[in-house]
Amino acid sequence: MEEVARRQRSRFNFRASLSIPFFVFMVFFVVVPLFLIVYFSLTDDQGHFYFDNWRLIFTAGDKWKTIGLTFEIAILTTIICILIAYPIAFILSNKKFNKNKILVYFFVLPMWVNFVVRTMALRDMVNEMFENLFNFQLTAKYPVAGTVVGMVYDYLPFAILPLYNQMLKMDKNQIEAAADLGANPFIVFFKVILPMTVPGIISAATMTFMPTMSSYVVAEQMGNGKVSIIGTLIESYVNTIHDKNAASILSLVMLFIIGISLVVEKFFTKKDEDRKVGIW
Amino acid sequence: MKTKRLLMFAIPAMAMGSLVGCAPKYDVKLIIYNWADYIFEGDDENPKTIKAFEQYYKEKTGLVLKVDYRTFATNEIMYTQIKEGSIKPDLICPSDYMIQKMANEGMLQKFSYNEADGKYGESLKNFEDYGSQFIKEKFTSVKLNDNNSLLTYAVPYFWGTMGFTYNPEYFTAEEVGTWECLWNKESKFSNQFSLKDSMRDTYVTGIFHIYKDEIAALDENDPEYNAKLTAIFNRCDSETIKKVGDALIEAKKSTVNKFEVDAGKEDIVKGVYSANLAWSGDAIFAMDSAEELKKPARLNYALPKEGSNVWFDGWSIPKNGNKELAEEFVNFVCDPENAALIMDSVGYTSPIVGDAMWELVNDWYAAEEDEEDTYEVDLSFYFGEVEGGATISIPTSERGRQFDAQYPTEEVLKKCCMMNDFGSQQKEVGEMWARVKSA
Repeated sequence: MEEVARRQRSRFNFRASLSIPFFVFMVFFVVVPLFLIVYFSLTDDQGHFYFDNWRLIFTAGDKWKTIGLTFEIAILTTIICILIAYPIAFILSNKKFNKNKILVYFFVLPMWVNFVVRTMALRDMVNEMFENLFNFQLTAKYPVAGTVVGMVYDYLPFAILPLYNQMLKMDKNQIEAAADLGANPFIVFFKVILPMTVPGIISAATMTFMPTMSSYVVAEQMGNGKVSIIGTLIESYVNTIHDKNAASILSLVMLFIIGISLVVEKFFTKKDEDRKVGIW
Repeated sequence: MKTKRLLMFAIPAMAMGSLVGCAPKYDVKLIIYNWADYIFEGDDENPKTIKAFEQYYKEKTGLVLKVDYRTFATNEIMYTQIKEGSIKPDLICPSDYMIQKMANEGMLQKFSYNEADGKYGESLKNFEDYGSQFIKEKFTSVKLNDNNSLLTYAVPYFWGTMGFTYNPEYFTAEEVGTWECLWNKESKFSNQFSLKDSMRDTYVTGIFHIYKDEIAALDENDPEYNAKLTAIFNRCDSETIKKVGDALIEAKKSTVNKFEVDAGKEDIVKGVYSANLAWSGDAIFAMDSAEELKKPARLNYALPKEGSNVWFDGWSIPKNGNKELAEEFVNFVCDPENAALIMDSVGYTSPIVGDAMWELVNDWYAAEEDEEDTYEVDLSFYFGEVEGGATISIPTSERGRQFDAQYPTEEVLKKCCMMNDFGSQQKEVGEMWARVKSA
């Protein structure tokens, strides 16, 4: 008996020990850096405690403007992405058009190319096009619009995939039943298809909203260095202004916003489950 | 079985051991921390500067020297690394304002330089003999907190100016020959310029705009002209910072196409915009590559008439660096033969003069004997006494091009000022820069 108990105990210990690398990784690459950021945000460049940075950052109007612009760009990108991704995902989920899922691969394919290279190529292409058609460069004249175009292009696959997955799971019988019972296509869409895809829409929205909030390369490249969103502001505080303390505060702000958006997502998905909108 | 496993470990271990054993032994080591692409890398005829120096050192002292050569991307990154002790070089090559900052913070050692008679010791004989008098005067004019001049802490390595690389088919030399072009409201100027995404450099353009009347009122024949201009150039009181910020926001909304630090020299060749705020070495690079690609075939370089910045990169020895060895290396690269090789591959302007240098410059730029349409440039202020006199004739078609970018005349240089560190105003300028970027 004792033998068995000991063996069980030792096996338990062995299993637990498997999580040690993960635990160490989390401590060194997540927890410690996070504490460093908090520490830097509360000190000045000499390492003395200094709380004025917080006051300075939030009394300067330009910081609020930057945070506001980041929100605007992120929300606009999310909405446009979903509006484009929804019909695409719908077509892709239809087996008639998308045999063997080849078309899905086409939409994922651009993600195999390096992100920066892809964005630069898009910038040159868009500018060339606008130069020929309207005689100005989009990213120079309307850098914010350029940034949104770049973000939509780069994050579209993140919106398509969750929607596509959700639509594959849709119960086709319900759609047919609704049509058989006399609902016109509009009613079928709004009363049957749309409710069934809500979880997909929510996860597509978070998948695009979060990376656009923290994005930096796209705004830098597609905004010609003239667009200030939280990501680029942190970059200029680190590389141009050399104030890692202010950069830390902004990082915490960004973290906070992303945390909030996660909570919001949880809230929505919970509600859906409670109301049992889903059909599985 | 056991022996086999032992062998599996033993063989690689032995191999590694022998590798370590084979590594070249050395008696002394010199760590150099320099800008990227800032030294001669060797060609068919000549070994790279680093190898040549190791050879030279062995012949001179009989000791085996190992040079550990590393490169950095910006002054500020280098400064942070040295301050935090993550790299401990014996020799570094920062820009003027950074040398000033580091010296004032006590991070640098003095060179063998006598402040009283302005002479370098025997260990830096080459710079004493071949360093351009003009450059030495520029450096002695900058006084540090301990009342020593910049020459005490730095030996100049390369220098240049800041102006516009532009497409002469789009802009005339007059149009970009003034900083006011950045505030020109005509539609021709709209979104045609790039500025530096570096606040120290772009700040300067704002200064020349907001104080244009004061600068225009200065008397150019006043012997104190440059000193007075430099005082305006380096102003950074709160009111100035605010005004510069407003001016930059205004420019950003009309003429500025892009803020960049390294994409500009390629963008201007591609024709993304028509004028690029550039350092002279980058301008020469862009002009050369435009010629090669024939797209747009010709680019020119213009220094605005109000004045501009003249910058220097100099060798400095951090505290705890091996001073004797570092001076030996600096003296070696100040030898005109070596300096000519380096300048040939780097493209910036070397402060070293002498016959070898003069020959190189003539070789590059002087007009052919039968060329009729030429203009004469007197560089005696810079080269001093050289064989056949320091006057060079340049084909007129080359006006405003590589030669003018590399060797500005005395007239032009009189209007070029050296940058100071922002000092305690750094944070305020940083906030201004964040405001400009978010406007």
